[in-house]
Amino acid sequence: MAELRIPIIGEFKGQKAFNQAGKATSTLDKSVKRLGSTLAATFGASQLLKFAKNAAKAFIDDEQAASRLALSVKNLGLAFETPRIEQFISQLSKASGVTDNQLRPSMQKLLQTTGSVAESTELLTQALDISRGSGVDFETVVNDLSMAYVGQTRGLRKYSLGISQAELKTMSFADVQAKLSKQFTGANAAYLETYAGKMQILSTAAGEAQENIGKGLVDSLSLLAGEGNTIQPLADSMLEFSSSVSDAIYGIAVLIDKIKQIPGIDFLSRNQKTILRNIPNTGLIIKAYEALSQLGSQTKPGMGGYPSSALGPGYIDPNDAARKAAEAAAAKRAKELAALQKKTLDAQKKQNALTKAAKTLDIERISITAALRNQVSETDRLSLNLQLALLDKNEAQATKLSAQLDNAVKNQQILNAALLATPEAPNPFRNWMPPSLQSAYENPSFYGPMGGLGAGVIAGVNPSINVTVELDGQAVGGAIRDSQINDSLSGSFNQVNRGGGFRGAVAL
Amino acid sequence: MPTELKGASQLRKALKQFSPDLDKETREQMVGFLKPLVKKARGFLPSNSEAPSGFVKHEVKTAKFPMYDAAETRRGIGYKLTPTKPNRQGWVQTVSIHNKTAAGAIVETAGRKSGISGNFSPRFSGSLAGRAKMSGRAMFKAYDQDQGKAKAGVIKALETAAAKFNARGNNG
Repeated sequence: MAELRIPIIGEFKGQKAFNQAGKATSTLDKSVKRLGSTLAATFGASQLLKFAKNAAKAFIDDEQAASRLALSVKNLGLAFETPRIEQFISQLSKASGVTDNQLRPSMQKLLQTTGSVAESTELLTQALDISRGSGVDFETVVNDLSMAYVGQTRGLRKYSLGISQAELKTMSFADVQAKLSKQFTGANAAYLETYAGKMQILSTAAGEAQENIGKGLVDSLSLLAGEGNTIQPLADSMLEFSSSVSDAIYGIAVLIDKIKQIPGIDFLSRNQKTILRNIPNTGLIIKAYEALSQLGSQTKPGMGGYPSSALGPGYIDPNDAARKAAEAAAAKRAKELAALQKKTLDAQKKQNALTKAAKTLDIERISITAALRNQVSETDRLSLNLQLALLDKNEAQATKLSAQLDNAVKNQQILNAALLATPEAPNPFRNWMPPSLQSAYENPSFYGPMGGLGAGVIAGVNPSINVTVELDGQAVGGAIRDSQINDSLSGSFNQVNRGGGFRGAVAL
Repeated sequence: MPTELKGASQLRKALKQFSPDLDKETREQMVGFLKPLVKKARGFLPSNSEAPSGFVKHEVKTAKFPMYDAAETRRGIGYKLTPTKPNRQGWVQTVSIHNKTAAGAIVETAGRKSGISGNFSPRFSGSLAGRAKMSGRAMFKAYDQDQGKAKAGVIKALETAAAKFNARGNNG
């Protein structure tokens, strides 16, 4: 209400806007109706098809990973261990919430490194703990452990074990493993107690379920395609299947919609399953579906792996001898690796000792050290230390000293510039005015007490002075020199007396 | 009910886009009719000393009721040559004059409904001019006294512009 306005010229735009709104609404209405019918037909089918595709893909990926692992195990001469490894991975996946797709490549890597199933399973379990405890992803941990097994411990720095890199290099893998174990044991168990851990287990289980369904789908489609099937018939069958499912779902939707329009159908809709089952033809189909489901579950091939009886107590595994031989070979290889590592370390130590010895005869080093003992400026001292660091190849120290030296040089330059810019010091006596010397004639103090020159008269500034010496009333000219006068002022009469040889000479 | 001039908004848009010189000329013509109206309306506003003292702007801690300031209220009266947004009935005001401030609206309309009675309305100098919702003391009074000359001038200016624009288009 705050604003008052008088329209001078107006225009009615409402009609057009209303028309547009009406048109838009009717279009929307039509679109919604069309969308509703389309959705009913496509949503169920497309979602089903999408799930089926995802499930099949998950199964195919899983199978590929399993195949790679099996091949790797076979190449290591441990083919007989494949079921045991698969079972271990399956159990570990269930217990830890890590998917088998992650575990398989890791297991493969560890097996290739160690050559021992026992060692690999132990390391894989430990890697889980380390990953949970340190927050580093599982694959990286496995990679670091594999590297550490062959003596490359650089990757272990990130786990903050509280030991230096030099110490890590000298430690055996068993020691490293013990250290890691001490630090991270129980981390995975603790993680699984958390909500996130439980969710991960559920998520992994859902993934496994999807893989199982995918396996069922692929098996079913293979069966439908017949013998010697290729991808194309399979794909065609899948599309055909999805289309028929789509049509069936749409048909059911249409049927339900029509049924709903019949008065008093509420009772029927609430009990439709029972009723449908009892309708002659429909009921037969439902019953047949249930029977098929039961048959499929009974006849579907299992997921592979050892029969449970094989793992029971008292069972003697025929592969025990081969397993023992493989483990022994792996242990031997580990020993060899350890020996090799020790040998390398010893060689490194010897090299270090030699380098240290060589340093004692390094002339350059000696001269620098000697120079440092003398009195040198700060800049020179830094410069010498930098040279020393460069000789030692101590990069950190060299960088630090280089920065310090730069600073010192810069400061020196600043000081020089400041000195150059300093103005010339003024004469401290510039304002001092020398006293004006009065003429000897005007200044009575110029004369001595007896009328002669006063004491302290500066030689050279004295004006010409006429001195007249009278002796018995007569003037004696030229008998007295200035020096004699001065001498006489200091009381030396002898000069006067000597000068003329006059008797009765008087002191002036 | 405002005078409807169909196509005025489109004409202004077209002028602005294709004939800026003609647009400027039209605008100046319209301003020439509207400015005297606005000046006259501003002249009807009371000065601070003429307005009721409690209504005039003063230092208070809380002031929910609008306070009057002659200069500010004068600035609030003006004209607009661009179309407004459509109101709920679908009307667009292509050219309009306005009294924007709350205090200005009070001065304009006080006593319109209740009559010139009580302690507040009679203190405003000048009587209400115009009829019903088009009655007021400043802007409405000026518009009433103008007797539709400004409106006629604006319509004429727009019609002339349309004719010139079409002529240019036909020739060009």
